[in-house]
Amino acid sequence: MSEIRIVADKCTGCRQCLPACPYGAISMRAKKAFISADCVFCGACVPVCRFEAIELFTEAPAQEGAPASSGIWIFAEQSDGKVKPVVLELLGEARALARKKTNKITAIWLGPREPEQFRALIAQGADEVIAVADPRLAQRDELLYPQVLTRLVETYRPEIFLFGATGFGRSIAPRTASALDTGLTADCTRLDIDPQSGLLLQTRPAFGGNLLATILCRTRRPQMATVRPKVMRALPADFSRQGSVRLENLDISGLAGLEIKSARANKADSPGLDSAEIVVGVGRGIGSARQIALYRRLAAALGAGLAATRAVVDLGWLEYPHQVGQTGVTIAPKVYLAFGISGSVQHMAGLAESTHLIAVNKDENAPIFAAADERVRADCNEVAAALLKQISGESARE
Amino acid sequence: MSMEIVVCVKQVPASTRVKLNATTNTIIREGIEMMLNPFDAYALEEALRVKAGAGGRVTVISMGIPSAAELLRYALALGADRAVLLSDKRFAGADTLATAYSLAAAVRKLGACDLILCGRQAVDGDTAQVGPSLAQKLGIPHLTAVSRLELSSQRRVLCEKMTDEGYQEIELGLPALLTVVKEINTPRFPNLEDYLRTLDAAVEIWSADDLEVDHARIGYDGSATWVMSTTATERRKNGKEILGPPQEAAELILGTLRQMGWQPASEGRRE
Repeated sequence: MSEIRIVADKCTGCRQCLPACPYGAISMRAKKAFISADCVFCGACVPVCRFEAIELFTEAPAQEGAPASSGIWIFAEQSDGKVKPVVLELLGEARALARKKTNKITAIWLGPREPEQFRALIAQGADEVIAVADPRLAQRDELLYPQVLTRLVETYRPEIFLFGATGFGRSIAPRTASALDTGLTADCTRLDIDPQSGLLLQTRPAFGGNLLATILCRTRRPQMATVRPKVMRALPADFSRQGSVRLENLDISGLAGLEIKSARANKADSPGLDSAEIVVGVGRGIGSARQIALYRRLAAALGAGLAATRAVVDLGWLEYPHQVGQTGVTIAPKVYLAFGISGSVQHMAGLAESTHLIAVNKDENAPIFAAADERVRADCNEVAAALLKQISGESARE
Repeated sequence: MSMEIVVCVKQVPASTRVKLNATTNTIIREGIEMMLNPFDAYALEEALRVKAGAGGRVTVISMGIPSAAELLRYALALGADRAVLLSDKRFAGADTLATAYSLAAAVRKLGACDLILCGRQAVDGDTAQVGPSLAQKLGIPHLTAVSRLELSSQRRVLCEKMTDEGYQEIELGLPALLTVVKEINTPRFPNLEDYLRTLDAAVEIWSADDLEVDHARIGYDGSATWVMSTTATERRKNGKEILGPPQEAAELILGTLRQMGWQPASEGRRE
């Protein structure tokens, strides 16, 4: 069991740790910090104490040793028979992990039989592709996929199993992990191998991105994680790489699936936040709903996605799928152009650390400027209009 | 038809108060206010709407510290019929797997259940894992990110859900678990009378001994994952200041975009 304690000699009674506890478990007793039974050992207070007076011993839960397992698996999520970009990023990351730990990398494909896609997976870093090519798997199915994945894991016993943290990945990974009674870390932004134990170090943002937690799955297998898209780097395709394709003959006829009646893609004005390299974001600072048209045009001209703060969505200026942040979607474009966005912690939590942030705001005290790579203190609508004009001029010259 | 609906809710820090201290690089929280996870408010509202249409009963369930009972009373004020809080030191420190396992035992103890609604994710952990994991433990189907639902016929529900590409319409047999997004409804507020009426309403507190659980699979010791370290982060960059009139600023921005690999649009470039 974990243990947390205040080192009385070191505690100066400065009270800094009190507000740091998300659970309100720290109070003052005899001029020293006191931790109550409400503590869940999250560790949020530890880095806050400048006097290193809080000691947290999170001993690994007493469990039996991990079962035998080997290899890194990547879930090769496909859409319409094409592998999703995040899968290539996972393969690139898996190769980096494999350098620290000799490991075969296997891409798991569920869907139609697509030999070209299999070759691409090998070119991008897979040593092997295991494919269950069944017509019922052509459409991504939240009920059917986890059953198939569970069977494959039980047959081959991988050590690590990674999924892209797409909407679908974040639905099937927890269901699969639950069926296997193993651990799963959500939305990781960093992966590494612990040199001593050889375990997968899974790092993810917590508490709205204010903390980075590194999580281990010590004794259950596989060690599973979903990984945020656009954070890891894909390797250049190398079609001279050798790899094998195993077509898995799995009878899935008895497995229950969903009754998907229809699917529709977002319309032309879709937020496009998943794949866009540039995202244009708007906050309440743009002034009114009438200005949205300007930013739609700007986003279209840039080939960019269109994002909004919660305030803008709550005002009804844009629909919910555009909302970026803690209660919306998370994005990781190369560049984020933030117009009239103040930069609340909740909004910033939806933006990857790696993104180049250009903030345009009239208010010089806007918190977003502290996090921006480029700060433009100006009327955002005027800058957006000027930008649109210049881009249109450029396209016309082409 | 009469529906037995269970809503899973979580108490989270009212993170609107979260700020970073610029000098010590730490989180500042003025007070330690807790609130209902925003996504769970949509789940609760949807449950109340389904009940209003089909009849039945709404049970809210939470796992947390004793003070979470307050949250459940709020749900009772809004119209929930029964409130259960799993509160026991032995549940503390649970990861999503151990949480789902414990909740599954509680749902089984409640008896027959047609529909389980959860928020898409909790805003403190942001994992979105407990819903799907719980559905698996109960052996029922689930859908995530549901934006519309209607009871289609006897023991079936028609759902619209958000996907990475758009929307899907899926019909499900009950029982099923759905996690919902904000698009689904606008949560109500309690009226004063209901609020006062439920201030002292009874919330059933269940301990680990009240559930049929393997104690080695709950709480911290029963968790599969383990937080090795936590470090504070801060987004602070000494960004470049761009001055000048809008045209000049726009030119400089465009320069940056080009540096980052952006090219003027040609046909079909738009993704």
